[in-house]
Amino acid sequence: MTLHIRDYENIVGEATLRQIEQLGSRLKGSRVVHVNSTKQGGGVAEILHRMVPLMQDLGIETSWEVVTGPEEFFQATKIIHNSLQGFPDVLTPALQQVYQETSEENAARLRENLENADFVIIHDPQPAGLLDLCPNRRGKWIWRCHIDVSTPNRNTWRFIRDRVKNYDASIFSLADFAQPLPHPQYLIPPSIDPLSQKNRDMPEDLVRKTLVEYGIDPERPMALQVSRFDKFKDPVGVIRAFQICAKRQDLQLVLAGGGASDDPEGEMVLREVRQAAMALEDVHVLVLPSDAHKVINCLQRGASVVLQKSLKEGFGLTVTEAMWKGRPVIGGDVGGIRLQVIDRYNGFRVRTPEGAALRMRYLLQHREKAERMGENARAYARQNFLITGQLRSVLALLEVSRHEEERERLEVFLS
Amino acid sequence: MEHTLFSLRSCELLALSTGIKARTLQELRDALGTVPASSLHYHFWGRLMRPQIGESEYNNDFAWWAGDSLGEKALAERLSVMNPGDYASLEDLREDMIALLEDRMDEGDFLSWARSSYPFFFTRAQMLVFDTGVFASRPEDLGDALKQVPYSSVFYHFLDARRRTPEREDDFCYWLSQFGEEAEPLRRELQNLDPHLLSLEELQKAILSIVERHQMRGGEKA
Repeated sequence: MTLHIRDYENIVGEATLRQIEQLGSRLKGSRVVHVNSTKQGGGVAEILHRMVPLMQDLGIETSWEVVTGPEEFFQATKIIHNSLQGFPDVLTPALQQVYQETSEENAARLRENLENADFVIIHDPQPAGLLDLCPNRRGKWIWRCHIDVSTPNRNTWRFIRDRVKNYDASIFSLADFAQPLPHPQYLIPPSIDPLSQKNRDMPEDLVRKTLVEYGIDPERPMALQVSRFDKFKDPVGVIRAFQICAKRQDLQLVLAGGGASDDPEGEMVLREVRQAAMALEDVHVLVLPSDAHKVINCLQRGASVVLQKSLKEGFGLTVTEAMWKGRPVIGGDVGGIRLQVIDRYNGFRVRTPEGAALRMRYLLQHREKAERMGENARAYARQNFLITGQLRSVLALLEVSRHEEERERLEVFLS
Repeated sequence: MEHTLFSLRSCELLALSTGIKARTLQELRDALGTVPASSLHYHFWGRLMRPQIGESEYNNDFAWWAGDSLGEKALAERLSVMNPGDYASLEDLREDMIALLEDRMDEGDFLSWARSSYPFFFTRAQMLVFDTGVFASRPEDLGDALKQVPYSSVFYHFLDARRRTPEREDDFCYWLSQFGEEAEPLRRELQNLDPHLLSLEELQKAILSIVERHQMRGGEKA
């Protein structure tokens, strides 16, 4: 499907599109390469599936590359990912060696494309080592960090810092995540696409049909958490919250998620979740393929309450997805969720399974208030977390980074 | 006499981390002495470009942090009443803020070790300026023009302008000055409009209401 920026006119209005087009006209013909570690699964891949064609629609020559590697490489990057988010996993010298060797293999394959680009945007730690391996680069290189690195394991951070310090700029989702680096650090929250299969409007009968197909009773209230089976998303804590809430409340729980090709830990967490849910007939654990966007859309629209009880979270895209569908969200009081969920306005932030149970019960008992919070959630998502806003910020960053001297104000229009 | 057109712009702020954060009141005081003035502007005025949720209890990020994260309600009130429009420059504002924090730290009931529940992250911003394609050629066009532009136009022309024009004047008043006596009453009233405590939506409405009132008076005279 071809994407056009003008498709968003009815959702975000003329003023925003005009700004994007003015930035696009400044960058027209530039060569931009995005690099991440997977095309399937996870929030980064989802954003790039929409961001890349929209940049192309503006006349920017945009491509998307993926780093590949052996299983040990993804074990190393998973440890980097976990320990940057504060878990005490250790990146051994042997795994550091695997990371370096795999980076060199990827650099050999991608070097020509990357060195000739006007802008290279490297997403997350997995491909971060490429910059030092492209000595003849001529463009600006930007490191986009999607994860919560507010309290990283210092050894792992030093390892990554050595690889990202020479970038021209970095992007973090929140000020809390920024780390001392010798270049400008921009703050841009990630976004969802309101026109994607996962977020566009769905007919009510299709929503009901999908629930029935997955064994969920559309007549009974349903709580939902959509996310990878990852310990940071605390799926076992969600089951615990459900058990407390369901003592006195008719309720079904759906934990829906899938794996990502760069996440070797998913299977283990899934086993723990199945174990915890085994004796609970109203708990549905759905392992969905990474392209089950319509199903996720229907589940979110069919839910009475949506949870994202993360223990660490860079930015919960599933939070924004639920907000866009007018659902109040019960989110963990961590990371980017603190920017998305405004307590009592569009949902609740909680710290424990008990807190999540209490808020679930509240929302199920106060349907009118829940509806109002849902309306607030949709408006808040529209104002802040749609792909058009993120696209505008990224293009703005590319435009300002072309100028050697930093300017406080930059006129974008062609006079 | 040929008058210059008023070409209305809109803007977007690209936020940047300064890398400086404060966890206690002392740290906030120390950091205030070193952060760039653009960071003060961002936390007093730039916040208006962020989404506003209903009525905010406090009117700048410093007051919000002092009240919500440090639990210093009295200090939050004192910080909140600070109006950048009352100061000749952001440096003067900075000086007064530091003095206010030091006064609080000298008070007997101040707990020097009290840590905030979350840190204050000093942020600054770069501004991107866009063309809206909307023009005004005469004062009487201004009302229609204002109705066609986003709230960020008001931020750029009414708030940011005071930092970039030599007379610290907003762009509307600067443009109106070329029309002499004819536009003077409108200009004077716009000069007296205090944007402190207003959201951008409210500020746009307030400007529009003044402009339309003067248009009606002009019509009556004609």
